[in-house]
Amino acid sequence: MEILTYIQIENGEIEEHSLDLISYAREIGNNAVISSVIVTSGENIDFSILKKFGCEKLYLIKTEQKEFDKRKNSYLATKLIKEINPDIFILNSTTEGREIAPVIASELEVGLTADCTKLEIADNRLISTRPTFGGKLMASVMSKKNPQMATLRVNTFKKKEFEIEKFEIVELKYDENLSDMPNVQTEILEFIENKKDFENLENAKIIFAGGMGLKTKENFDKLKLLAKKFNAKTGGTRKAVDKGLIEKEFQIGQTGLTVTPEIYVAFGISGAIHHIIGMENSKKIIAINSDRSAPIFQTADIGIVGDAVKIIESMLE
Amino acid sequence: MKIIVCIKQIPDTKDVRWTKDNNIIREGLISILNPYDLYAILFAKKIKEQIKNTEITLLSMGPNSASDSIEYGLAFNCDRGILLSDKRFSGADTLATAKTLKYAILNNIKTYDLILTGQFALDGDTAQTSYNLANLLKIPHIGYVQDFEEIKENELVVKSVKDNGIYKIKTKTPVVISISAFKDEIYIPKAIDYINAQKKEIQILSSADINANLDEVGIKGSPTYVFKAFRPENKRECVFKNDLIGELN
Repeated sequence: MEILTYIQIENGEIEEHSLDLISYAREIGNNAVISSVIVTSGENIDFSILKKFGCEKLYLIKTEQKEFDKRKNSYLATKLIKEINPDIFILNSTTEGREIAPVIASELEVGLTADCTKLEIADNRLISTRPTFGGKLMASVMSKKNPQMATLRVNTFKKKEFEIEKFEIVELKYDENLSDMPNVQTEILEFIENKKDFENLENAKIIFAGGMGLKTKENFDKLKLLAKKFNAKTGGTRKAVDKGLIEKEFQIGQTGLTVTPEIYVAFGISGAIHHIIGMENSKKIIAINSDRSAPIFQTADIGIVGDAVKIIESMLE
Repeated sequence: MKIIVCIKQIPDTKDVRWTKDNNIIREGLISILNPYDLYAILFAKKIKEQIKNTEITLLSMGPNSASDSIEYGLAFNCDRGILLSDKRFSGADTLATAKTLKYAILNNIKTYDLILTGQFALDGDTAQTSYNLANLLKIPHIGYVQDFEEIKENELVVKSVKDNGIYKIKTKTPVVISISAFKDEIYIPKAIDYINAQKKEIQILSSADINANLDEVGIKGSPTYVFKAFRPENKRECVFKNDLIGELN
């Protein structure tokens, strides 16, 4: 049995959470061979790190597209999968993983379960468990055909070292002028990379996050000031980002970051499920909201009913 | 420009109640239009205000009651609605849903330039159907779109916001675009919009009407199945306090 994992390349390096994915495959994989696929034009990537976290075989697909350009990735990975027929193929539930996986699944006409929080294997069958209905119901989904596919929510499992005896790299090159790559008809005019400061947010011990209850950019600046005082990092909800109160790279939740700090303080956050997804595994959650019935309190250990802005201001004094 | 907006009626996830066996209690359940699909409708409306002779078709799959969401959507200056409703469609996963939509698009709607969808649906939240659909139609897909920079009859420039950064992408039509945010003020339909919406046609089509291969739709055409469902344990019990500083140490 073979479990293939999709490894992302960012800034010419192996993306951190991809290592979590390999380790998780190794952890649940029993006697399966754990392999990885990378599509890249990068030259100086250290692939040996994959072995450290549980990978035995790397399929390295060389491409001519630029590093940030992922338009061909799903088609090239599909070529590989048709060749090697893995039993299971898993990806991280990043925007890249969630864009590539459904294209591959529909091309192969196989099942795909999105954004899972648990994967198990029984009798070579993949059982993919995921929250639905805004986290109110868990569904365990299985596939009728191989490869059984799933995307795994980021930060579900932390990377872990394994003793692996051998590691091989199989280098591949496919014809890239294929008519079955419709996305190649689009053209990337510009790419503005995110600032990498958010990595600090993902590893932060304390996070102060703000929502629409903070109302203005000035209040967010006050929150940042307060965070500094407590050695905390600042984040925000999607709505706050959409309204320009805080930058996109500090967005916590779905389509943003998943964080797991020791202490998470939610200032004026109502607790929409898309935010909860990104912070619910924090160790201690403190919520401040003027509305006692706000859903955020259902995910909090400590609740403070009050005006978040006034609390920030009084703590700054 | 001919636009198709794919929409989904969903149970209000704030409001869902369950039986002991984890079935939804349908009685008293409020159904809403998936909020991301409303963003897609608002984008279509915005395009219609800029490009002459734009026609917007709302396309949905669901039970007959899903025509409520189509009717609501029509109040946003959309032209007509199509509901794919047939018990043979039920139990469909994302791939079977995409195939059903594909049949209606190829066999009934036939001509289109732009297909808009919401990036996510709040109930299932798989965010897969639009990608499946684009791949089945063999046309490009652009996801996580938050803005249009340029709209022409046969060419668009859009802003796509992903984990690693922001992409400005140019595409020719036909194309599928999924919307993840809407930054302008959200239009609230007026009474007259609702009155006009009632005059517009909502076609209800069955599997025979769209000439679907019955092996490819509904539960039969779905490569995945739910093996079990269970309620998550509530991990936290909130204790209300007055002092934040004491809790930070």
